[in-house]
Amino acid sequence: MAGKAKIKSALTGYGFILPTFVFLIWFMYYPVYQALNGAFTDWDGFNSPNYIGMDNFVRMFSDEVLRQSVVNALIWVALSIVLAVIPPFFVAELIFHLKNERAQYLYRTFFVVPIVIPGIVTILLWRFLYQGDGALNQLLDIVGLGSLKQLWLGDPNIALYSIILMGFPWISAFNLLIFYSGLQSITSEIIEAAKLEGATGWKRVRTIDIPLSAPQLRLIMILTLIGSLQNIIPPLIMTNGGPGYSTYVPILHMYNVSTVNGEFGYGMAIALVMFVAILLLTLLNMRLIKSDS
Amino acid sequence: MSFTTNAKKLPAILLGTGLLLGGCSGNNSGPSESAAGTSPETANAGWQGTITMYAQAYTPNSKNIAGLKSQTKLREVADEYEAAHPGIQIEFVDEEFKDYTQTVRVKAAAGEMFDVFWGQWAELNNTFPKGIAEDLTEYFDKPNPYIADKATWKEAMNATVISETRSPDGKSYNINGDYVATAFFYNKNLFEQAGIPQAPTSWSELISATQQLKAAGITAMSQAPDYDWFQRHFLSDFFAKEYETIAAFDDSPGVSSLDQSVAIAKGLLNTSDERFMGWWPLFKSLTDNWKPDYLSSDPGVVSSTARNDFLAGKTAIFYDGSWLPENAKDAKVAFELGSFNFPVLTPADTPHTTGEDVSGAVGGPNAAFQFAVATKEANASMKEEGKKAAVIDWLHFLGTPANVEKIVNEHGTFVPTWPDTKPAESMTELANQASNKLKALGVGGSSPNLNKNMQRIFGLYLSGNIDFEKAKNDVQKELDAAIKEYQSKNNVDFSQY
Amino acid sequence: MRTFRLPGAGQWCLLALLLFNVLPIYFMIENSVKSPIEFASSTLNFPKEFQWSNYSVAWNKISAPILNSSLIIAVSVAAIVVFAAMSAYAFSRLRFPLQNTLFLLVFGLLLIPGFLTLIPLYLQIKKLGLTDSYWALILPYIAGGQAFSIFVLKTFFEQMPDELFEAARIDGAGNIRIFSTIVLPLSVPICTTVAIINITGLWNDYLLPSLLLNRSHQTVTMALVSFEASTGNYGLSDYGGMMAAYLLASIPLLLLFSLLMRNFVEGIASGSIKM
Repeated sequence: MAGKAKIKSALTGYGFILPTFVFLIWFMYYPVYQALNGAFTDWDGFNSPNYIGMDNFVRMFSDEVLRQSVVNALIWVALSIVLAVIPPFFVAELIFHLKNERAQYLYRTFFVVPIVIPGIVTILLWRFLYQGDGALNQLLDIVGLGSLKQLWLGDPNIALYSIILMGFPWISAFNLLIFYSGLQSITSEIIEAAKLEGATGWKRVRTIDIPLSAPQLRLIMILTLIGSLQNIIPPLIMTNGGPGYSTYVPILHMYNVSTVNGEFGYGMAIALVMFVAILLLTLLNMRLIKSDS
Repeated sequence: MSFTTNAKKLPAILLGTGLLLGGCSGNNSGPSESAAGTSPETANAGWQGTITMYAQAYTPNSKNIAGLKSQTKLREVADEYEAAHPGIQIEFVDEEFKDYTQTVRVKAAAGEMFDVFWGQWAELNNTFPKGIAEDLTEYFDKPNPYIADKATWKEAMNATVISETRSPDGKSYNINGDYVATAFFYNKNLFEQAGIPQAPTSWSELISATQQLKAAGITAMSQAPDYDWFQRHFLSDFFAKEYETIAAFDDSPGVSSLDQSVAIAKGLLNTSDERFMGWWPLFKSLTDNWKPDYLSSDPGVVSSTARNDFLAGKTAIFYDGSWLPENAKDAKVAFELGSFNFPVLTPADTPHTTGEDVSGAVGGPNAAFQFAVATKEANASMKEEGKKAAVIDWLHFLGTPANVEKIVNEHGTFVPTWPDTKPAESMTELANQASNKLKALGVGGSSPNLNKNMQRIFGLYLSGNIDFEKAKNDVQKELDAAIKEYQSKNNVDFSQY
Repeated sequence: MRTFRLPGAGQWCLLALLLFNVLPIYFMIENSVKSPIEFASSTLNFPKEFQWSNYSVAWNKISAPILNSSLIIAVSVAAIVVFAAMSAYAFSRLRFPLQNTLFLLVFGLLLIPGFLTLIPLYLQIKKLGLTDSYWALILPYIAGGQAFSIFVLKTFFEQMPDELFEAARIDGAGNIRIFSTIVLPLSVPICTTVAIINITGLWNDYLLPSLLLNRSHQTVTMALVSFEASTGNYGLSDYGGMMAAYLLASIPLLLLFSLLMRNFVEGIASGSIKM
């Protein structure tokens, strides 16, 4: 009996994932498989690829640009995770604790509305704000911190941070909604129980809200890890990796190598190595932040 | 792969207008002139159908390409052709491409490239995959049935352009008919405001003009200094006496990428010759008066903004290509626009100068009349019997001095380069540059990355982030890497030169 | 109902953050009536001259494409969410061999940059022979949205109380019934969120539509490309016009979101993510 039930269970499982996999195999796995094969060739995207074995991977070791871009990427990921978790969680808590439900609804809506803003607008806005005589420097003058003025995008030492920190106040609508839903799923019994034990205000946040939001935290961290490494638009559009190589990141390197220079084989080799690295990091992440439902 | 990981991700890829002015390149293995008097090629052996063509800036009756005023000449030429060849239609691709390189790669891989397409020679030679464009050399060496008085087609074309734009293995992938000129454009009103009576005619006047503007509280110049452009002014001047030697390395006129690479290997165009970077401090004395924002930026990223700043009257001088006057007209600028050429240098400016007039050194055959023919691998429809001959015949018809002049001058921002063509009225001032012998020298043809990497070092130096010694070391490293790449990709032995 | 008061400081804080958050919207609105020159000369300031023609030009360009984009995206996202929910349910609540490996495989797709697989993907789409129809885009979009959506939904389905499912199984409910009567209704908020993210991502996609669709079926992003200087024109970037176009194009999005947000709220009020 158990065997039959197992088979039934397996079939049901496969049945549920079938539609997804039909699409994935045709449009995703097959192209990925082809592109991955390219990692061991000198494919230029058009002519027949010639097998060159591990040459691409060997090349990666002497690629100084890649080295610099990995360092930049580490900084980028670390900062991005901080910015993706703290501000949205903070705002989620604030909204959650509003007494007025209407106010909750309004604030939630207005914080999510900016999702319709296309990325190019944010980039235009911030490119403008970061100019030497732009709003940011002007603001510093007005506040009396004129000595802190910089060439935000022109100074190789700070350009990277300027791009990462673009988008103040860093309240991603999606992250906000995720954290908010997480908070909502904290049952009222737990809240009551906590109150009885004298845990209110920030203490409650620390001991109840954050631990119980662990699944959301883990989700956002992983998504941010992946998203920040895939996010090619800011470094491409704002500085194209410059000044020097200070804002060069691996995804940009892959883009230049493959789409601009036509060396898809090498680009794919880099992608493959990064893929393995990120997968390991993600598994690590999943293990570190255990979720207790 | 995910289209939706991050709401902020905008998969649209933008590139600035940045015209790709690659360094002179092109090598040739010296094909001899074909025998004159061969019979004109039989036109389409009965093939009928539609020829698709992407004409870039010359696209007629365009609705989808921004900034393209309505032009009709190319359509008229096409109509003439259609009338003489019933059964053949010419269809122009009315599209704008945010990332043309990527589009070409994808379309060619799928076998659906346009029949005739715009492609700059540097990209056809270096960037695009090999095998997407037909080698037109054999047609150059034969007569063009529509040009009666020339024995071969290439006699109607500009010989220097052909030899400069040849690929390292001696192929010519496009017909190349126009030239883009460059100059310093300036805001006459702002000059007046700063008390500068006339345009600078010498380097020292240029520097003092920028200082005067700065003193008057006006931004003198604000843009990303394009290494590729400015190196050509200075190097063509400093090395003018060695031009012939360098050009002769590959046994053909003009400086090809082989010539450049040999020159680098031999220590000429190389930091061991102090002239190679001797102009950097000189140039820095100019850029020290610029707005520092864009000095270390990528020209492709910021040129659009910098140009708009100039047109908005915020900066006084802007170095740009000959399309700027049209832009200014379209934008209805509020000031009077003037221009002046890159000045001739004097020994007082720098001991390295030879006094050559190199104002035309940057302009190049890198404009819009650059058309290639897709191969059957890149375009499945070219397998049709007789189609290739038909497309070449259309190219013959299009590639006559009369048509080149007509089409190029209607757009009015580029200069036709073929002998027997005259520039448009609006371009005569800048066109003088084109009539100077194209004796431009520079590096960049040895590897697709060389220019970009030089640009980075250049920007860091000019913005004061690295000093001259470090810049020199970095530059040498880049040069060495570039010629190594050239050597391995093209199987060249530099010691035989 | 929460009973403890949030000090007024919290509200002020929210307001301040909100203002900064909508700064880009202000930026869009005040720039939408500027000519290229005015945009360049005074980007952050209130416009001195109002070039209302920006809106009429923008409307002409995008009125038809908005329909195209909406249609493509509506179908795509609906399918994405349904299929992803099914898979997420299976991965989180069912047992079948190799399920962890399969899930990792799906998750791994998030790590592949799109431009590297563009050419093989394009060839795959061509193989189906669907050039220049909405389906040429819809099908790859459905595939592309799976990985992210499955990942997010699985996290939430895992969090649902086990008792719910046990109770239903004891009652003899089959998986399909459980899925449609318990999982889906309870996860409306998260499904809405996932849908919203997919919608915004696809709405802004330029590359694939530009390669696959002709002008007659063009999407909003294709229509807007002429506002920016790029290969093929030596003209000026008209950012003012672009802002006007984006504002117009965001109206259907905003309408859609206000509908969805109501769903969001109802989903919470009606049901019990908390029991």
